[in-house]
Amino acid sequence: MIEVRDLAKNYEGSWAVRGISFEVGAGDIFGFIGPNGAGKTTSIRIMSTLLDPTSGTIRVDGKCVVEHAHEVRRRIGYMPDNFGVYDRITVWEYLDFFAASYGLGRRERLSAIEGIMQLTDLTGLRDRLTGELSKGMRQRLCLAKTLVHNPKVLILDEPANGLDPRARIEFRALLKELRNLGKTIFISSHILAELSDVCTALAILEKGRVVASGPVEEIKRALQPGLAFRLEVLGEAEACRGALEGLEGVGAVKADRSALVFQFSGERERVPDLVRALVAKGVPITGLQELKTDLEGLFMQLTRGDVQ
Amino acid sequence: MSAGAEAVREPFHARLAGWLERAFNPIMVKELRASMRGARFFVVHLTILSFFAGALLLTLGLAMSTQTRHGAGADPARVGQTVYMITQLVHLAVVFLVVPGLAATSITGERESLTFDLLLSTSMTARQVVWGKFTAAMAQTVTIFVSMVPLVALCFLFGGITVYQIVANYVFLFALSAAMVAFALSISANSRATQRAVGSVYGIALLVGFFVALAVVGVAEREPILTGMAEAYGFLPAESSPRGREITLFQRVMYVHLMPGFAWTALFSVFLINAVNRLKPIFANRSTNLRIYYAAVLLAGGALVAATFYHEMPPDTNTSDRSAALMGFAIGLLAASLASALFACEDPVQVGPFGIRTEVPAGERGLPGFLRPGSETGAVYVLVVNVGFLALAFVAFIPFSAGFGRGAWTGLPDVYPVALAFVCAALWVWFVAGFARFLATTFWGRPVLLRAVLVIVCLALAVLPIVHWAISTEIDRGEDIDPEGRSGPATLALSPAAAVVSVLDLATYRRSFPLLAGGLPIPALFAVFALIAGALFFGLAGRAQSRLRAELVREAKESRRGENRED
Repeated sequence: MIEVRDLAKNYEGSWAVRGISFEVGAGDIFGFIGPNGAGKTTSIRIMSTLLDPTSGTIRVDGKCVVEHAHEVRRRIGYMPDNFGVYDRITVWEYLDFFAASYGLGRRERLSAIEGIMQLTDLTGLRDRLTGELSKGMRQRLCLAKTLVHNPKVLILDEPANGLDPRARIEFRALLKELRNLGKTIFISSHILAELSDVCTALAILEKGRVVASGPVEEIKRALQPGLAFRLEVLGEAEACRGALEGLEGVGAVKADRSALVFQFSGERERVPDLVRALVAKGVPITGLQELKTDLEGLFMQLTRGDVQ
Repeated sequence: MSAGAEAVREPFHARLAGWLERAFNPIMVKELRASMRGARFFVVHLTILSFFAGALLLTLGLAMSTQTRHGAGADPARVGQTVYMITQLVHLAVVFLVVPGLAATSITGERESLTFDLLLSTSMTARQVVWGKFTAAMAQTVTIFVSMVPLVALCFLFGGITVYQIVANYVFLFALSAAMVAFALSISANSRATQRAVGSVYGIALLVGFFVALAVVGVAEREPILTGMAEAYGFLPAESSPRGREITLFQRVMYVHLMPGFAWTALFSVFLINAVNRLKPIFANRSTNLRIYYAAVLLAGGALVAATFYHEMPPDTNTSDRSAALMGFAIGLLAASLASALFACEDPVQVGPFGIRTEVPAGERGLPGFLRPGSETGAVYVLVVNVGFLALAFVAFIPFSAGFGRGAWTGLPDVYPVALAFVCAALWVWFVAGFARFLATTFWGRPVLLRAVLVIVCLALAVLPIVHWAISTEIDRGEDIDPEGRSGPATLALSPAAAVVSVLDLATYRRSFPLLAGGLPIPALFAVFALIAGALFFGLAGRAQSRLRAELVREAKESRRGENRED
């Protein structure tokens, strides 16, 4: 649905984005993560036809964002990281304005606005002035305006920025609902917990370069080819280290007080054999837990924390 | 009707807004919704109307007491006219003080309230956005004027005012308001901060207001053309001109309607074009519309001047007057061609979204290629449009050259001085186009600097030699070195203005401007200078452009290699 090829952007001599490439499949929730200053917003503004690339191309639904900016705008819904509202109009008028700006006819607008207000839970605020809304409500209103013309692709730049925990949870639920409606969602954030539950694919950006991209599970597999376990034992873990290291398939072992953390290159079916072998060697096992790598872990593994 | 349909039925005001929207555009509806909501709009209106009513009542009282003193000779029509004059002044004050404020903040406001990106990411084009802002400001202006109509109607109680006057005056005020709104939008689109936009708009509006005040003084002095304008635009009753000073039909059509109409259209269009250009995405083409605009204005302006010449300068007009008028026209053309040289100041290398463009795509060859952005096509455009216009103007002005084969040109065909003056103007076009292109390659990336250098250097070339000549003439006066006034300093060879006036100085008795500089004819010297300097600049610009392209390609390769190494 979105194809980014060798995208680069130079601002008066300094490179904000340095030749990035990745693809976003239809129906994906694609996380675009990176530290502040990594080039996320620049890439998103180019994708949203608001900036020109210095080189490279972006195609949205097969249309180039530079050559067919008008068609691309019809296909995308863009929610910037910092946005304002028109203070002296109501929620309904605000949505009506954006629906009309996308060329929707009057009847189409009426039904679209009703549907979107229900989806984003704004129905009760229909006649409230937008200037009177709280930060969370404004965020929701901006998402509603992003959806009002029924775009295929949603481009959301730090959409949960500044929301309270409850609003964040509701926001994640809304994203899942939108995915179920068939939308492709491109979402940027530097708060990884926000994306960990919802993303199906991601690109990690650092210093204007993509350090990893693709489906989340694939990236995890690439970074961590085997399984990782935490073995809890009675007493000092260091004493059991020798017994563990000698077993087949066991990789790097780290002792941590009463636990040993180790890599296991064998199949999952062979884990019971491993436990049996440890018991046979007299290791006093009190627990075995598989370690899952979350987005935060991936991010820390892939980035060095450098900012341009 | 079904219950479901009832549920989504909008209130009347929303339906009304929908009708308006179909007629205009979403931005206008949104702006009107926002501006009409709350007390501010009504307070502003009420204040304007209260001030207007107060001024009107005061004037009414004073005018009636003045007329009452005349006893039987009192003329109620004079009261009506006085009151009407006050209504016009208040309307003009609204146009200069209120109307610009309606549009000055409209685009900077979007930037400051962080709604600009939201607006630009919709499927509305920059033209639709500007048109929406324009119609919104005009709708508010119309509302203000319409609310003043009942007070204006007071004048009818006393007579002395015709319906034509009021209608014509409102048409004039709307046209003036439209120009002010377009101007304010243009400034707003160029500014980052609202404060600066408002300051600039009011500063310039007050300056224009000062000139309008001067025009009013002109009417008081009974200048026939200005009086004719005041009559046509409803400021004065018809037949206000004193007997024997009425303007002719041609003057009415040309000076009262066509020329102000041309000036209005030219200004209004350039303001809107500029506002639209500022809202376009960075990679959009901003040049083509301005190139079409310049060519259209040049042709239309030229046609008006030619029509004026044909009407006001019959063949029996004396030679000095005709040659002086042609001098003025030629100097105007020199200025216009210098302004058009700004098209040759565009980027020498088109670094588009797909890298450096080394050749013109097939779809942009021919006429579209001629209008596409870039200093290369800009220079070609400047040459073709200006030289083409000069050729047309030359043909149009041939009939005015009767008897020009005199003085220094005795024995030569009558058309010779005009042809020579136009050739000098064409060589000036060649020089400015080449110089602009050279500067565009030298100062690439510094657009303000290169345009400033171009204009300052060219103006200095045109004007300073004449100043030099004037000073040296004053110094030499006592010594009577050149009693015939035929020779001037060598610097005159650099000035296109000197070349043109030298050629067309066909005064009956003694030349006002020198013919020679350093013993050689000024036009010939200027022609050689412009030809060589222009060719030199074109050559240097071509070489610099090739170097620049090569450098950019090398830089891009090195940057890619560097990135690979880092990876």
